[in-house]
This record gives sequence, structure tokens and C-alpha cells, in this order.
Amino acid sequence: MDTAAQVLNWVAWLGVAVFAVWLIWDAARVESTYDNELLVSSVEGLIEQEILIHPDEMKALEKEMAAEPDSEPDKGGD
Amino acid sequence: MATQEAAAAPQAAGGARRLSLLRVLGPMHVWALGVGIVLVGEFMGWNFTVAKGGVFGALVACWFAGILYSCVAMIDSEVSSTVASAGGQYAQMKHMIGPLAAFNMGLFLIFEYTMLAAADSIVIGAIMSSLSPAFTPLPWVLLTILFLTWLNYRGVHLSLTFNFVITAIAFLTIIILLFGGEFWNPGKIFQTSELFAVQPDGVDPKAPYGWLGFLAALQFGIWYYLGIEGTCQTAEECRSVPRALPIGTMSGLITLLIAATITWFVGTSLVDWVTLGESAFPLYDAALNTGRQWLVVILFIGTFLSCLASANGCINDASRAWFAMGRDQFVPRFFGGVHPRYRTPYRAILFLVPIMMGFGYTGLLDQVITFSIISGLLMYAIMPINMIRFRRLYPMGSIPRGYVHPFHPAPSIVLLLFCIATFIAIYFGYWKNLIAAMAFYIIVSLWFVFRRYKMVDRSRLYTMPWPRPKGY
Repeated sequence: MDTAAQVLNWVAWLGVAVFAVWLIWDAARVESTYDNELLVSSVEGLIEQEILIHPDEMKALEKEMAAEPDSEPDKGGD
Repeated sequence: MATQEAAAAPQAAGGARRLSLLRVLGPMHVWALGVGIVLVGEFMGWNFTVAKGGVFGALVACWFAGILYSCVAMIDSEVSSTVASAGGQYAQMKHMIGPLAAFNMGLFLIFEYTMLAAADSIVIGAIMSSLSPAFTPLPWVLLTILFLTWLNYRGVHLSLTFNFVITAIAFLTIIILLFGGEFWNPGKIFQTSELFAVQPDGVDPKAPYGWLGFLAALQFGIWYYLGIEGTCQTAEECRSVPRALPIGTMSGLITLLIAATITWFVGTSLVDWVTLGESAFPLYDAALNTGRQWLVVILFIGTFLSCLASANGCINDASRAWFAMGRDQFVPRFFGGVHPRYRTPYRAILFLVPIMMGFGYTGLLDQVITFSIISGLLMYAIMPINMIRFRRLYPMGSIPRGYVHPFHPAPSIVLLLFCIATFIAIYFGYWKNLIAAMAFYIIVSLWFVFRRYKMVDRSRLYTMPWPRPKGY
């Protein structure tokens, strides 16, 4: 029983470490990804932020827009 | 993950994307939050009423506190279903009384729930140690706090659905103990007549210290229900506040009244009053006295789950109060942050972890609990004033209400009188703690008035789309 309890104690410590690391990792990821002003809720409990788009997604959109060929100048119809 | 986070922001009416707490909760979750926080009080703590006032003193305290909390539930249901904002009583105070009252109310909420969560985790560590001395309490205390923090961080629906399951199981274990003890067959297992009889030395277990004992028992009577008012914290996350909040709170209170009465009957009919008054786990001890091993196992599970449910609900409530105060800049605005994917107040949740761990690490269960109870009681003492002012500023018909409580102002007056009686009872037993708590709240109030309030953007404090209050 004592050995089993000691093993379980170590399992509990491992659980503590896993949860702590996960929470710190995710919070750090969010903090480094988004600007503070986008995350902080307004007084109404809402933020009107159309720009809450992940920066990676924003880069992809910019890339896509840049890749589009320039449209031909309008030469007038016949 | 990026796409999920971007998609997490819902479409607002105007087409703009909004980041807010998720509105996903129903009456079941509100019930789970309220009952989950409180039910641990049936598994431990309530029995100190027996030491102070005997078995009848414990019953008087149970029903006295039941009336007190019925008033709390009615008042909260009306105001919170109208002021549907995270922070619950904090937001109510902000709109009805003023910033200083709101600041204090926010702190009462945070300390009540943070300390209760720490106490629950200390008890879980103690439960593990009771299995075998080889179990060290500390890793289990920390694991409890971090697991529940993770659950709350991942989403309110997940954490309160989990709470519903474990709370329902814990409640069922009390019912199983009642039936397992064959209550319909008095004298076989339940020894009510024998345990209530006057002892050979002349002591009457029913009321050993007379009326004074009844009064002293009141301070522990609130254990039966302490925390039911936490349901208000979900106001901003309910799908339909006028439906979910009153139904969840009232059904929760009815559940607790049933559980408290059964707990009193089972406890006092299975354990003698002296042992019961000192027991750390009274229902578990009651199960031991039945002589049925399967009941002992079931009550062990019930005790463990009730602690877990209570700590889970407390983390939920304390973080919402801190989040709401951050949003209004009563504390740094940073804490008003919402997670872009899980839509939880993740900064507030994480901020409270080291505080809970600190209190959990001390292991001073009685001190931690006493501060929690005093904070809760201070909150109840302000609620009647809040309710009376709410009806005065916004008479019936002036604004839409989700729920209207009957017999106003009787519940407010009764609540105030009962709070005064309980304060007197606490003063008899814990006057140093009471004075220390009051001194603490006065000092932080001075800090708020002279320093913090200067940083608050007052034009953004009052957000309810209501007409100008009567008399203004």
C-alpha cells in the first residue's frame, strides 16, 4: 500500500506539472498572438473588433491579395 | 487552431465580430453551480452546530439558515435576471448603490470563493491522507486546484457540465445513506430515540446549552447553504437569463433544503451528539456507524466529489468577479481579458491560482473557512439594502424584469435581521477573525477611494440600457 501510495503521489506531481505547463503554454501563446486591446472585454461584456483575425490568417489573406494579378486598365467599351 | 479562434468570435447584429463570454448555459448548469458549491457543507462543517446547540439547535440553525438563504435566492433571482452581467452581486451594487459598495462586494465574492476553493482542496488532500499516511496531501491539493483551473480555462460549458455530473452523484449518496440506513425501520440502524434521550449524567442532547446554544449554532448553520448566491455569476453566460437563473437558483435551493434536512436526520440518528459535534467528516462517520461497508465506500465517494464540485464552482465564481472588476478598471483592466478560443476570463482564472495555492499550502482550514464565511455574510448584509434601493430607483413596470420576487420588502428585512443575529453568533466564537476581516476591508476601501478610483473611467461604468432612475 505504501509503495502504491508513493507511486500515486508521483503521478499526482506529474499531473500538477502537465496542467501547469499546458496552462502556461496556452496563455503565453494567446498573449504573444493577440494584442491586449483585442482581448480585453469592453464594459458591455463585448468587443466590437472586426479585426479579431489570427495574424497567420491575416498574412495568408495579404499573400492571396498580393498574388492576384493586377486587373487590366479599363480601355473603354465599344 | 487559428481558424478555430477566428471562428469563435460570433457574428453580432451589425455584422461586426464580437468577443465576449459564451452564452451557453441553461438551468441545469446554474443548478450545478449553486448546489455544487454548497453541497460540501452537508458532508462537513454543519455538524459544528450540534456541538454548539445540540441536535435541536442544529435543526433550528438548519431551517433558520434555510430562511436566510431563501431570501438571498429570491433577491438574487430578481436583481440578477435584470442586471445580467458577470460579477453578479458586484454588478448589482455598481448600478444600485455605487462604486465603493461594488468594490467591496467584488472583494467579498473573491475572498469567499477563493478561500472556499482553497479549503476544499485542503480537504481533498486530507481525504487522500486518510486512506494511507503514505499519501502526501500537498500534491493532491495542488492537483485539485490545477485540474479544476484547466477545466474552467477550457470552457464554462465543460466545467459546469462536469459539475452537474459530480454534484448529482454526491447528492444521490446522501439519499442512498438515508435508504441504506432503512429509515422506515427505526431502531434497527437509525437510533433516533436512543441518541436524543437524556443521558445518565443529566445532559440533554436535544438542547444541552439552552437558547444560548441555539444562537451560537447559527454561525455554523450557514454551512448548509453557503455559496448558493454564486449562481448570479453565470448571468452573462446563460442562454436565457430570465429563465435559467431563477429556475436554476430556486431548484438549487429546494435541493439544498431537502439535502440539509436529510443530512441532519441521518447524522443525528446515527452518531452521538458529542462525536458528531467534533467530526471532520460527519456523513462518512454516520455511514461507518451503519456497519455496512458498501455505504462507507459510497459516502467516501460522495465526500470526495462534493469537495471537487465545490472547488470547481468556486473557481468559476471568483474568476467572474475578478474579471468583472477588471473590465471596469476597479483592478487592472488586463484582467478583463477573454480567451479568443474558449471564451473564458482566462487571465482572471490564472491570476487566482497562486492565491488559492498559497492558502491551500498553509493548511489552516479553520482560518481559511472563517474568512470565507465572514466575507459571505458581509455580502448578505448589503444585499437587502441593494434590493430595497433597486425597487425604489426602478419601481415595478419601469424596466423589464426577468423575475419578480414576492412579498417585498419582507425578504430583505428578514435577511437583514438574520444577518445581524448571525454576526452576533460569529462575534461570540470568532471575534478576532471578524475584527481582522473588517479592518482588512476598511483598509482596501481607503486604497480604492484615494487611489484606484482615480484610474476608473466613470463614464463607462453604467452600462444597462435603463431609463433615468426615479428621483434623478
